[in-house]
Amino acid sequence: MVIDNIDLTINCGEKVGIIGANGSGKSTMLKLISGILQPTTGTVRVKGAIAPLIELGAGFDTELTVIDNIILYGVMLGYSQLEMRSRAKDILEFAELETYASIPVKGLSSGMTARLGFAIATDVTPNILILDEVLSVGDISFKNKCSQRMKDFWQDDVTILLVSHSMDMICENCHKVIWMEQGRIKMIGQTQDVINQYLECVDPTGMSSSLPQVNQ
Amino acid sequence: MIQESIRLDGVSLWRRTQEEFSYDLKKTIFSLFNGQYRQPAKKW
Repeated sequence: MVIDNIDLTINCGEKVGIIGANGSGKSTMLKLISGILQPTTGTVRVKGAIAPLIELGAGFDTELTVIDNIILYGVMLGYSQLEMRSRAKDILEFAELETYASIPVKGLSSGMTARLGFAIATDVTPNILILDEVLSVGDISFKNKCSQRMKDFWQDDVTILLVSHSMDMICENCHKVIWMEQGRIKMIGQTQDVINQYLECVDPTGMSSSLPQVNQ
Repeated sequence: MIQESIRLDGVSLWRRTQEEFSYDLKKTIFSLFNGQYRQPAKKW
């Protein structure tokens, strides 16, 4: 079984990190929440608009230009074409892709595609933002920009689900963490507690660097 | 009052894709032909 009998409740405005080994079911769970996959059994209930950044370039039509994809993505999230056109300049500016507006998405590098996805998804201020390792391909300066924008979201009522293998990123941005193993939730709780248990399990010798403190 | 944003109740997924299903089916049929079929382990 890929996902095995998961019961989970996430409240509005919660920033939740999801950790676990490759193949533990993190991305699959996010796809179930996003409606990309349908569960075999059980129910998934979601309240509000979701902006999922699950796979690099997912949701983009690579043949269309950057600007057309911005409009398309926004329209799929329920915004009007006119509104998205007015937002496009800010999105391009944040993604640092002003000069690429009329280039097809297939011409962008993986880092550029990730920047574009993040810029659109966070500009339209969804109710739920899903980030699945998409920031790992960005450069340092863009990661800093993303962190700043995530901090802005922190104040808002936006629910964020963040999958990352970077414990630093999870610690900085989440106050609750889900640890997944073999399609099940192994542990759920406060960020530092879950990460400590996780690292103890995967790295019992303590070879990894010391953990950053949770700044909440 | 705290509002729920996401709720999963007893959610299970057996296979991600149709391809995965086809692969499992073919594997089962071949193992039957070769006399190597083994029942899946029971879940407790």
